[in-house]
Amino acid sequence: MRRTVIEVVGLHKSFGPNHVLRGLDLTVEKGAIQVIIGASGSGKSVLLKHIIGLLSPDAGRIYVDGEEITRMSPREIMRVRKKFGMVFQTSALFDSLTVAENVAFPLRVGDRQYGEEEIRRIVREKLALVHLEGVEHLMPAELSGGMKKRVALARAVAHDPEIVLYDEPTTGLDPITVESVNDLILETRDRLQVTSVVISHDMASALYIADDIAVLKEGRIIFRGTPEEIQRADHPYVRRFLHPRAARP
Amino acid sequence: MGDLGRGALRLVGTLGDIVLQVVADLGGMARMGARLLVLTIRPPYRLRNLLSAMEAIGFGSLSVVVLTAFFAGAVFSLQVSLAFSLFNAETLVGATIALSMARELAPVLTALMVTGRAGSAIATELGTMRVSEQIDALATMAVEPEHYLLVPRVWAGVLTLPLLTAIFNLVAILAASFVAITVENLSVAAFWARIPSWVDPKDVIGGLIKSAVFGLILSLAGCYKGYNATGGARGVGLATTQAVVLGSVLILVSDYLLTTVMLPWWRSS
Ligand SMILES: Nc1ncnc2c1ncn2[C@@H]1O[C@H](COP(=O)(O)OP(=O)(O)OP(=O)(O)O)[C@@H](O)[C@H]1O
Ligand SMILES: [Mg+2]
Repeated sequence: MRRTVIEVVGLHKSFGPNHVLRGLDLTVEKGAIQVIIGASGSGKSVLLKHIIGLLSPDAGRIYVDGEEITRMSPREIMRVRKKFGMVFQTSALFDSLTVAENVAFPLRVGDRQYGEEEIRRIVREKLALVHLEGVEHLMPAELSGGMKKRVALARAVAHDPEIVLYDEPTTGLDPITVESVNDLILETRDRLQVTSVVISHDMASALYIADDIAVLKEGRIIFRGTPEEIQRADHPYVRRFLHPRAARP
Repeated sequence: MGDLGRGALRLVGTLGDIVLQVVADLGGMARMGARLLVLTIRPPYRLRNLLSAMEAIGFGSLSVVVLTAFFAGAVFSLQVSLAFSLFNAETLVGATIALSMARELAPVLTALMVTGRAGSAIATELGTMRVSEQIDALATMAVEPEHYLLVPRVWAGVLTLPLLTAIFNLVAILAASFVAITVENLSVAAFWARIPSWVDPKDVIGGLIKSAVFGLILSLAGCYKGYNATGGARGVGLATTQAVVLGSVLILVSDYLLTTVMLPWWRSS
């Protein structure tokens, strides 16, 4: 069996009276593409923010590479975060920096020293992966929503992290760009055995890229399985997710 | 109760709210200040961030500081010339203006103008970064946002305010002498005569030390309110307003305290 990279045990999180995560368990293996689906507001983004230590749980534990991050000091968490890249649902580009500076940012603040020429090359290369060329000198405010998302993708993988968290990477993109983003996720995994956690509403993409799909409902993972298993599942909620009523003949 | 009574009550209520809010914020601000001090000595030292923060505060506020200094000096000169001419003390006009500028007016007016101009800008910028998850994004890149964003801004406030205050002093005294000489027909010599003997370097230095404290207060208030902003555009707007109120109130209160502390030193010769 492959090594477990992320392990979430009994995770609880409330915001005031809103009990979002209710004892969630999840394991992700090295090199896997783990897709998480669930209704809007079910807590997918909240889960992702826990995995990278931006939110701390009310109860439960989270391990990354066997280390429990939920007990760590802020400084130790910083060390663990160096393994991660993350695409925010809102893109979260630094709006005072150009596109090129955004993508270069993880390279400049990381432990490894890169030369200026090398940084320029990597920025060009990563932007090309998401079909963006000649936008290096634009500011985020000058980009469309989909372009921002793609810059955020390029930024998340710029420093070749071991684990990449994607919060709805294909939402708001056209079908052709969706294809290239899916390819980016697959290639990133294949090239460096990167572990990926992908939140998605887009079932076609999920079935295409996932090694494993987890369905989040009422604060827990209610179903897990490979794309084949999930398509054969007779769980009513999962079936509704795969075949929404509007799409039925 | 009449309208006036109700108005007075509302005013007292609002003032009470401000005092309560400021007292509540003081603890959080002090904790943030202590934490930033610890972070300051931790590498990496990001000189570029410091310089760009100083540029934002300094150049951003320069015009409004010069404008305020000019008119404060000019109008103060009119009043003092008029009052002192009543008992033939025209030769004290320059010295009186220079002394009150150096000790009080330059540090306080500069700080209040910069609070409105740059303290608010800091709160808005950080608040926007907070609600658009840019601060979270920074944290995911293993950069401590407080270290990267707040430390340079707070030090920029401490270092820039004395510079702006020195400029205020210079512009205000030139404006005052210009008005005294052209409008009030004082001689150049009469205006400047007593300044060297009345104004000691420690008056100016004391004022500059004050201004460094005010710089700390206004940038820390902006950082504290902006960094902790919540709730979208409205939250950012609220953080900005509160940063200005908090900064201004604390500047005025601390000015009184600092003057109390400095008076014995200023009086000694
Ligand atoms: N910082 C926060 N403060 C208060 N409540 C929050 C916060 N973040 C999330 N929530 C709440 O947690 C719940 C889950 O939010 P989350 O963003 O994880 O949903 P999601 O599954 O990602 O939905 P979507 O698919 O629409 O992005 C929501 O009810 C939301 O209101
Ligand atoms: Mg979400």
